[in-house]
Amino acid sequence: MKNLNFDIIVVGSGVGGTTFTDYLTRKNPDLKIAVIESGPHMTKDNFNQREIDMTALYFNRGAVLSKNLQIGVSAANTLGGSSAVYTGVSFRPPKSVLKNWQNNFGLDFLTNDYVNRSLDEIEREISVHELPKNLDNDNNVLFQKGAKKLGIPVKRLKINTKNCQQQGFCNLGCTTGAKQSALEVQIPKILTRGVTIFCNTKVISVSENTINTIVTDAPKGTKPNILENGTYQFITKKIVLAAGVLNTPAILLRSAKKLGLNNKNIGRYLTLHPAFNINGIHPKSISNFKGFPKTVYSDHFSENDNFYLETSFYFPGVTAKNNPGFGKKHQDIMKDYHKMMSILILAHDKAEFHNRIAIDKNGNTIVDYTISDQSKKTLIKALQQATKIFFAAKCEKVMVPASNKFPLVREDQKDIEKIISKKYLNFYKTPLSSAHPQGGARMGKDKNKSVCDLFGKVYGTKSIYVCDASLFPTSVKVNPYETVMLLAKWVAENISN
Amino acid sequence: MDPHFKQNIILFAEVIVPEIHVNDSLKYAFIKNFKQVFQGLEKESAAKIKLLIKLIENLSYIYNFKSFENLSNIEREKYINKLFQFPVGKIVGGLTGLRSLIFISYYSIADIWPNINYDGPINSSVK
Repeated sequence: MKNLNFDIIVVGSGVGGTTFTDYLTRKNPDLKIAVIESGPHMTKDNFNQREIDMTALYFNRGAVLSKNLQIGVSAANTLGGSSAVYTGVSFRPPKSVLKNWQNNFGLDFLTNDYVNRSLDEIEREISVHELPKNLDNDNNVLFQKGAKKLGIPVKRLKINTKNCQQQGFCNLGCTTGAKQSALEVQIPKILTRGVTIFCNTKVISVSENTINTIVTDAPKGTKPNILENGTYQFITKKIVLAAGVLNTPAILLRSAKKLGLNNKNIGRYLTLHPAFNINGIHPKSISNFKGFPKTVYSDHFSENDNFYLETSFYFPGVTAKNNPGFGKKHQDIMKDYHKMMSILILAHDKAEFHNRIAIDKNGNTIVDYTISDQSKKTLIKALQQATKIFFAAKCEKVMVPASNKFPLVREDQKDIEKIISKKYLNFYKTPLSSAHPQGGARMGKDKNKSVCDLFGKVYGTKSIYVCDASLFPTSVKVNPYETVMLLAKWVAENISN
Repeated sequence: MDPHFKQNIILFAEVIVPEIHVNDSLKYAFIKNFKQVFQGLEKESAAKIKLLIKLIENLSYIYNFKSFENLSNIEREKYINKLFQFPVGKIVGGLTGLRSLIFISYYSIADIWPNINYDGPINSSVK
């Protein structure tokens, strides 16, 4: 085994790890820093918008299933982490969530002043802005029309892009680099400051000041590795885990014995922000696979019914997966792909002790998550509301999981509450998914109820920090990347002090 | 990919996307794509899919008194529909997961795109 020495090592190159490194190197240019990434070094030149090729950007080709097989979690395994595949939807954490984190978990540093000042700066640097209305494609226009007819208020999303070329999809990597992800903003900056990035390097375990890793082949067509294949031990003063919710808690669990950690909260309080993406068929051909896929949303149901509705659209394979059923009937529905309008439902789930990231006997991640009765109720209500919007936008058919009919037609509108019901919700058959896993190494003042202290340091360790969405004490209820950046900035400022 | 496993994947896929049953070039393109995804899966997931295919084969003898390969198209369709109603949820969950991989493999075939009026990648440099 070979040894490598650094002052600080960051595990993970998503927005958590790279924002941390960006802020740290601004004031500490002389530190010798390395970022370790388990995925390959891919950039916009590697992205080809072909679904089959680009599944390689995700862990297990995008097919990480929960232990009970009821929900699939998408998390990126590539340089830039999930920012390489998100749509750039930029939300500040809601005030009610921050208040909860302050009052119940002791995150007093999240004052209005600190949050606003930090996010003003972050949003400026990554070009967060509302897209102009002339970039609304047909799907976004129809969503607004349908919602307006039903009296549902709609808001414009903020997105972090520069010179978007309106290629229709963002989830398989932005081919022009318009999306201001870690690949375009933080990574170029930290590279110019002398940070070394090791790709295709998987962390096996950590102990105080030491990281054990294994380096494997760089996939064909991606940037070659700096290190030859083999096992390496990285020696460092401080370790910052920012490997994402599927991995950071798993690394801690694999390392617990070596670290002498006996904290029952590691991996716990996982939230997944469960999502359904559903489609309706409009009578006319619409340009949903062109333009920008998301410009509007509704938080009208957030407070009382616990869900958001956002516009969305996906490639044909994922769209086929999201539509229920199979066989000829399903194929006939897919022939209307060019007429499909699409809505994303995001359910706010509660942070519960029994939902967790665990590891199997080989140390591999297990997503042990049960969809609560509350979430089921939320999803049903959301499916009913989304269906109403489709029909109000003049769709002729709607393909809904959790209904006893496929597809629903206009005449079904009067019976929506009966047709879309909890009794038809079968998670083994319906493609519930998650792209926003959170928690598992929650931050908090009380060491008996948390994993990390208020500076992101893992309780009971001297040199190990966490800096990704694993820190969230509860679900942030919105697309999480800005909140991850906010906490990363905070951890960086304090680690350097 | 083991030829027997490959054959059973094709037979299962023909129920999910019947078009490949009547079009050999689509069948070829489909299995090429499926192989690409399958080989990229983690070892544990790939092993589970192999186990699921084994189960589909074995249950066929119980449900149909025939091997999966020897079922007629109509019998195979009925059988797969029945399996999607199987009382063990995890089996249905596994079938749903396999269904997803089949859709990704099938709808990534460029020859299919005109049928669904999808123009393909917009950036001309990546077409």
